[in-house]
Amino acid sequence: MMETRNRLASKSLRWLAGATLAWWSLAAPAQQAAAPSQVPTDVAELAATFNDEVIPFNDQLIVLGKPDAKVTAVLLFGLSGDTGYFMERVFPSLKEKYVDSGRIRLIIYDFPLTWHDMQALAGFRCLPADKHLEVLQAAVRHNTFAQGMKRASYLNTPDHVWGILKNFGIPRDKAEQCMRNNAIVGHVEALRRTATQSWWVTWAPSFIVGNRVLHNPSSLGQIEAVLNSALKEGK
Amino acid sequence: MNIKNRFMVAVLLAGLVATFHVDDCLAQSSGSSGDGSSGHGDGTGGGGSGGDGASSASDGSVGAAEGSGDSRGPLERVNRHAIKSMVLVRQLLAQSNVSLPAAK
Repeated sequence: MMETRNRLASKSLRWLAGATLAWWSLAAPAQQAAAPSQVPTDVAELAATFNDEVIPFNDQLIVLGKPDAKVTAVLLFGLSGDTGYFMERVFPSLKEKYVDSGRIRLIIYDFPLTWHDMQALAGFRCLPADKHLEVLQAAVRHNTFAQGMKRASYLNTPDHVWGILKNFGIPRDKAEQCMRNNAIVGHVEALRRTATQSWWVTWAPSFIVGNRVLHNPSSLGQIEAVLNSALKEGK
Repeated sequence: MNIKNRFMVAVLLAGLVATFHVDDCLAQSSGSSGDGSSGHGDGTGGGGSGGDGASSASDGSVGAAEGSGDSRGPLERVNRHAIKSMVLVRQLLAQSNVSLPAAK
């Protein structure tokens, strides 16, 4: 009796193991082959809401400082807690010491980290260029904005971004149209793609001077070392 | 259980572990806070959170438009606009004396 039970258990286990191995050998390569062209379901659902309206938008970069400055640096700005920290603790002294004094020119560069950011940064581009830095600063002033937005689904992003944009006098329907516009989202994507392809960055904030990339600098000291060496070289 | 059966159980468990992809669970979940799902688009997804608040690393899915060369793909129009805008972005950077390294 005991022997029969053991034999049966052994047979079932062998069958299960065989089936698992067969499933693994067939399924794993298929998944790997499909991955590169796959668009996640939630991104595809979001993309289905995009529009092709012709909407004028700000396609310029934020450039601070004097045109004849010897060095140009780029700050990759993301809707992240660390960017908020940087803008509050490092940016004011960096601006005062290096930008306002005419030593460097600083580009503040939108860098989306998620599809929530992609929509938010697209919405911000419907404001005039002279409001662009102000709206970016407002978006990272409190951690709760980005945190709350990123906890919700991509489709709910306009509800969160509206909390920022309503203070800039833009009607809700226009704000949402901008956030979901193929051309504006495409422009934000172009910024992301140019940065990742040129500097190999996936992190915001990142600070770039020449070919030096600082990921998540959290003090002026870290930046000064790179800036001063670039200023000496006159790059 | 004899040794043979134990071996079979081990093989079975190994098979199950090998077919489980954490990335798939993360990438498909709506509203993830951008920490660590990779494997889509350009594969530049990072991981971890930097300090307080929302993560500072790219979500792997944010580059999904980059691989959407398929004319029927959901992000094909975004991709087409992005390719055009990249020319402008490079021009604007060049005007501000930012010389870009060659694309890697």
